[in-house]
Amino acid sequence: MEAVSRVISLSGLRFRVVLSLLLCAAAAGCANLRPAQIIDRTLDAQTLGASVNVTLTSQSDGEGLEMPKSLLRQHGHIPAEAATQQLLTAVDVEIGRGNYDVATASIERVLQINPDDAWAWHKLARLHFVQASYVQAKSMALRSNALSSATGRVVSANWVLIADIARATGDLAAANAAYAKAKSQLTSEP
Amino acid sequence: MHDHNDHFSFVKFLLRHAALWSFLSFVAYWIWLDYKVGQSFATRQWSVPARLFASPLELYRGMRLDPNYLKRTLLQLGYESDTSSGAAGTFNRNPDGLTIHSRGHRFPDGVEPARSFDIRFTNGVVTGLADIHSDDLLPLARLEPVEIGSIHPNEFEDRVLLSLADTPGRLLEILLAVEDHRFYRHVGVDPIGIARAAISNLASRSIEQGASTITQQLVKNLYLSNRRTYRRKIQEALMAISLERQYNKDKILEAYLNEIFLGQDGNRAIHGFGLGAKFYFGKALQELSLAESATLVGMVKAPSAYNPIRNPDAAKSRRDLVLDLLLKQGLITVDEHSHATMSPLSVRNRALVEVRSNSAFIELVHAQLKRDYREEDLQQVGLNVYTTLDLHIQQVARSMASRSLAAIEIAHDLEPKSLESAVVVIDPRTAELRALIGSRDAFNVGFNRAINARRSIGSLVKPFVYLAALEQTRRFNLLSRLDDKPIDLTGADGIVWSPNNYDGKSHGKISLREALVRSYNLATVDLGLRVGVGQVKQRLKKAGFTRKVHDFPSLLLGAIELSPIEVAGLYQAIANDGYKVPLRAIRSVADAKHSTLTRYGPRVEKVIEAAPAYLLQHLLTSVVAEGTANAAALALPERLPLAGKTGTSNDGRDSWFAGFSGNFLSVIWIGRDDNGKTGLTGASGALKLWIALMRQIGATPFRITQPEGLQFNWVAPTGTAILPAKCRAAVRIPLALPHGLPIRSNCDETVERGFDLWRQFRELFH
Repeated sequence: MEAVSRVISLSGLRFRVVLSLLLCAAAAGCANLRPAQIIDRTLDAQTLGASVNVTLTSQSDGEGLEMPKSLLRQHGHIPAEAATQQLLTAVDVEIGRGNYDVATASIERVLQINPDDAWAWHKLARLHFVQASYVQAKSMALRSNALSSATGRVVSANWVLIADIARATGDLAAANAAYAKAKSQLTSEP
Repeated sequence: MHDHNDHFSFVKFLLRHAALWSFLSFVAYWIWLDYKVGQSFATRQWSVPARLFASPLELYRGMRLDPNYLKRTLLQLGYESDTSSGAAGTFNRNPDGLTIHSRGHRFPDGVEPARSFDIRFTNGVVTGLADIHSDDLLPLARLEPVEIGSIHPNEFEDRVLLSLADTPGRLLEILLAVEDHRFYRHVGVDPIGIARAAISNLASRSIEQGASTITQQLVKNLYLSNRRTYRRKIQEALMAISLERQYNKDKILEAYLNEIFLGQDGNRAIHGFGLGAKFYFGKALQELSLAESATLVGMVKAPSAYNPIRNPDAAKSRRDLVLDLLLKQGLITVDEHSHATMSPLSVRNRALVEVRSNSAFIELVHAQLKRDYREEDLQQVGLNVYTTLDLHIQQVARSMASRSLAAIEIAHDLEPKSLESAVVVIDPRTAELRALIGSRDAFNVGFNRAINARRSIGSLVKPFVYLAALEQTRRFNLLSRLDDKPIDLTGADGIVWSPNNYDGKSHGKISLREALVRSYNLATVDLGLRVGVGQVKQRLKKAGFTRKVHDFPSLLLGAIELSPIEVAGLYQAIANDGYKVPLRAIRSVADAKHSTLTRYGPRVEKVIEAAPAYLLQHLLTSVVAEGTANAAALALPERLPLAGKTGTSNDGRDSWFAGFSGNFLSVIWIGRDDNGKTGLTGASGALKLWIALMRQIGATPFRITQPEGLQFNWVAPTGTAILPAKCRAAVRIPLALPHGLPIRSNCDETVERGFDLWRQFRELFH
């Protein structure tokens, strides 16, 4: 119990780190769980929590337990991300040169390989923005943010883009709100 | 005498003028021919049908890839295995992988260079990818796309356009040696050759031997009939001379290379050496061996008689004759000659080419292309169409469809071959179509059920009823009570509609969650009537439903008819976190010179708010985990969570399953063409095929991302209040905000919850 109370007393950030480690350990231990028990990531956490009581007692405040992105990404598409990294870098060069068609085609290739790549969706959104296709740009930025691969930096970049779109369409209030969201993402990211 | 003289001079006059007039007519005729030949040759366009390509295979470290599938793809691309040549278009097997010498390809997003690289596998995962020359690790390599079909009229000429510069010198040498060794010296006709042929023909009193030059053969193929008359021969010679007068030898030779007829494949005429190489040997012309080149050139004389597929013996002796001639003319060495004559014909494996089996998909692509292109352009100008088809998934879907249907027929004691099926597989995030099967026998080019069969969707409509409810966040949550009891509804026409549950029972007060997970009809009608049929209709429209639909409550139980591909379109947004992307079968279209004409990128529109989308996904994963599609959870435990919904229309006329994993959304329909009863439910029919398919194509778990605007709370089992977490009865569920529930500080029970987590978990599901 001593260990438990020590864990609880940790600060939010460290708590998350410890929590993710515990969840990883639990995930390894519970790999043979019956299928019906793993429904979504919240229930995942609950089920896993059966063997790690501390995780549940510490969040009985009604807040949903957010599974750390790092854990999700272990199941994710890191091989594909590594493979498409170079393509996405090249895309930036093409955008810089104004070769939007080539850039778009390359991003679409990245999305064919890894449709969950939040950065690729962000860049496609930006390409729509520079070509004044604002509705698409915003939809894609939001879509990028909703992906499980969207970490703080890309979420922030998407909010900056949404702010740019709002500014371009003359909605300064929305632009400011979006900039604020972008900023808060960066500060909350470790 | 005078008379006689007059008469004589008149005859002379006539004769002189007849000769003159004949000569003048002949000259006029030749001038006219000359003009006609020149004109039509200059404006001549090679008819090349639009070619459709499957999605190319991308290779990178860490990807799951069955080495056998890679090999099959290489063979489909016409790669030769285990040669020591190291030439482009070959591969070698190693103990732990392959060495591939790729050909490269001009893709719409850039050139994929020809490369030589090693690919290594460990347990079905690519663990190594490196250039064999530089040893550099390759982050990504892509094979050429496999051609899956073309767009053409019923009877059509097909060719792969060649320029003279692309044509291997060796092939030209062989061609000229065999067909016209004085080509670069004559003027279109070769008098020496004609004299030789004439003597031979006179001796046999028939026209047997041709002495046609390449120019004459070209003229004949382009402009003249196949009849062997002297008149046609003269015409041919005149036109040949005209052509030579107006165009240089290289232009003529290039035209010949593209025009020459090299056999018939059903309704498709094989023209030109480019397609000849591809059709008979599965290779690019540049990759042909000496023996293969000799076989092709040997065919020119009589494409049917010397067809290496149909008449291998004749083709082989003709080839050897060609090789003998080359040796005699000193064009090849004795070694080359003996090596070539000893090699087999090496015609490609025809079984690998399954163009017709993709007909349902090609039909869809054609329909989409017609929106942006004229039919004659599609048939003639050589467009390159890059599609989204994943050949591996298509092949799996095809074999799973026929296998599963046979198994279902046996299990349910149905007449063999009585069931039909359609399969649609998409990537829900990009909405790219990965596979499309329109009939049980994929080789049967006929009714395309995936697109054209509109059938009752039954319970597949229910998610939209529940979604319409869950969007009213203050009114409904997962635990809201519904009345599962019999109801009689009188329509405008006075007819009474009395829906029933599948099990014939009513279940009283149940939660919204249970009602969908168990697919109860009566509770769904209760919910739908509370939400309003009009609201549900609106909900369907927003998700992309475009047809006119009635306002009757029977809509709530799926009394609407949709095709499988329309269902996939409706479910796409659910699987994609509420973001709708219109389904796409084409990525881009390029012209014959590979310049992109049109790109069909994804367009995104948010049609479901994040929180209700999450709740619906959550419900649909429960359908698989413990509800009507539980068989999927039992069969694919390692891939959970998976999500989906069964659908059954009256008396099992239609058995449906629409379900998704992290990477695929697949819609399956099974039924009879005559709309007869099958006795199948969504679970006992379509779901079986869905499971088999998803297992084989590498479905990954569907991970729900918790969005903003959603909170987990301890809620009373009736879904009417938020309780303190310690309450024994409290159930933890996700609630869309604003939830509008009162927050209680006391439990209604006397016993505190304590640490009984397992109970909490259990309660959520019962």
